Amino acid sequence: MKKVLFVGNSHLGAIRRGWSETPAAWDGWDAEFFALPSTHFLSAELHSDGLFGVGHLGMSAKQAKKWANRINEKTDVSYQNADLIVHVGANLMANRMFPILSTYSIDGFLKNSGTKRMSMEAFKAFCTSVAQSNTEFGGWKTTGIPQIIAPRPRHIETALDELERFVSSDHLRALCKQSDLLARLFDLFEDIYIQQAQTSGWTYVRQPENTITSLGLTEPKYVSGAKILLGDDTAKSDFGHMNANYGGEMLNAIHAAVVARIGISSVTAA
Amino acid sequence: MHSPYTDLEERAFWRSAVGARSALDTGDLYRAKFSISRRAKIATAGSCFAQHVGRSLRSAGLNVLDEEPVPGSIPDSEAQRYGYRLYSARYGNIYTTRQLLQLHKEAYGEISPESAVWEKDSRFYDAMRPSVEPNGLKTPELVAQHRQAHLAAVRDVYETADVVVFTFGLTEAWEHTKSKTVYPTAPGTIAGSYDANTFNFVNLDYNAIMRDFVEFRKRIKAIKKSVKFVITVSPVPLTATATGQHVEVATAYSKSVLRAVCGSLYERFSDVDYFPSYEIITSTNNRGAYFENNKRSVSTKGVQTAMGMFLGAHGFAGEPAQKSPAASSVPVRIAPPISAESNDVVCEDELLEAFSK
Repeated sequence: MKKVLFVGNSHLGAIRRGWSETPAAWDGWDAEFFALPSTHFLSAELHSDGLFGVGHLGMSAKQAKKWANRINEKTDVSYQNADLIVHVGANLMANRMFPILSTYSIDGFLKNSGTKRMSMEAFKAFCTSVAQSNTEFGGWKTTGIPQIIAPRPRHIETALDELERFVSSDHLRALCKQSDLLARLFDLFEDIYIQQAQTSGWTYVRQPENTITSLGLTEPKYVSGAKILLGDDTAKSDFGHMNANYGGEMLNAIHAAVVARIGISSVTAA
Repeated sequence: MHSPYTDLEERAFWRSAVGARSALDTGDLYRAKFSISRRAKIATAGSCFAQHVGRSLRSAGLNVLDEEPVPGSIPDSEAQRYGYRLYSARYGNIYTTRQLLQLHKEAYGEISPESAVWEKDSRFYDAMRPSVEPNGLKTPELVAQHRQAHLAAVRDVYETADVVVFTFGLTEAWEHTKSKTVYPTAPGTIAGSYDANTFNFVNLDYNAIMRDFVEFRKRIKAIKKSVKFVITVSPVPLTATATGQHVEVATAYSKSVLRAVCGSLYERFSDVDYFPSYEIITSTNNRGAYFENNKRSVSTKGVQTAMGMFLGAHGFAGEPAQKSPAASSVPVRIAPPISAESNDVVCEDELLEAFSK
């Protein structure tokens, strides 16, 4: 048997529930899960003894331990004996470009209502700098164990009804609702992360295409029946946490990457 | 016996004001001519030293205009590589008053610069600000479209500013012989190519520089009567001169002329204040301590000292910087305080180094 260790934030819930339906592709793999709420997961550390878990320092360490115990019944998980580590729920940070999208026309990418112009080269450079400074990526320490990043799912399409909360520009809101602008923005960021992964020695797995609508967001069916980490139903206004079906789709995509890109082709061969 | 010097302050006498002053003691070199409100919308422009000025004002939480903003999540180094977050619009360095006036005229459609697009390796550059797109754009048409968009932002700066801070940098420039269009860099430095039949060197004299700035001031005041000006002379020596003189001699000439113009402007107009950054940095009292090893670039300490004096004189020293509004999700027009990560300035004229033997 091989062992896959999934670590992540609240979005790990969907993966765990997807795993419980045991996708056939993962036959021969044992899985272990370790989750923390997003804010505490961000400050989680890989300690020198090979244990990954809550940081020992800082004001939030006590709170983090409390959450870790509540969710996992432990505060750390060992990287040792894992054949694969999957980090789940990283935020692309593409929304950080909304002020630019609200203000500028970008060559070949976006025609805006105002007069301001930005070159595609500058826009890509800015997206790249945001991606490179994203502490949810690339902060993983090299362990010699293959590591995969599985991003948090894009919001479901019905989130566009609530777009006023996030985007003040009427024009940009209309573009998000009526064009593939968000799809292209997310694709651009994913391309950057894939490139970044190649130079950093980890593997980025895109959100499966069949879970994404033409507007670039997640099919609403994947939110139905979703539960938060501790098992309660998600709130009505929660557009970001997905159900077991989504988890299953993501697990298939991760497994395909394990075979094609990392080269772990068969459990029995191990 | 009574002399006109009898009742003067100590700062009027070299012995007490300089001779007895310890090294790096900044002294009492500057007293603000008028007050600047914290809410005043400040526009910055000028030679590359002006980037330090803008950065310091932003860091102090002053209301520095940015009509072509990018979000605070973009690091300074990356934003500045594309000409953002350097000045109140993305015009790059404005080294001469001729260029300053020319931009105003162009912004309001009075002139159209000649040879405005330069080419290099099949990429196209805005000759008036060639460094803002380090790899150029795909077509000349795209350059023209970007320029029109930029000019709209420039007009917004003119029409919004309460205070214009301008740093006089150079007297030397390259111009299009027939049209008299001036450029911030010599053709062929970043892009384009030098043709002696098309372009010529010009060393602007006192009268020309004075005339240009007076005209610029008049135009700005025509938009908003209450606008005030803070002018400075860049203490950064010339990287290279095309006069045939030794570069040190040419620097002395250039800075002297600029300083003389600033002195005249200060005396002539009550709404023009002169801030002596040139004197603060180059004072013999400092023994060159405010320059880097190349004896040209102003050190961080030098910038802090000069700008500390400016902020102190205006009552802004020691106040916390405001929270960056650019980090919000809405477009903003006020520049965010700049982080300490990027204190480099973008100077096209440093490219001239590459041409030295």
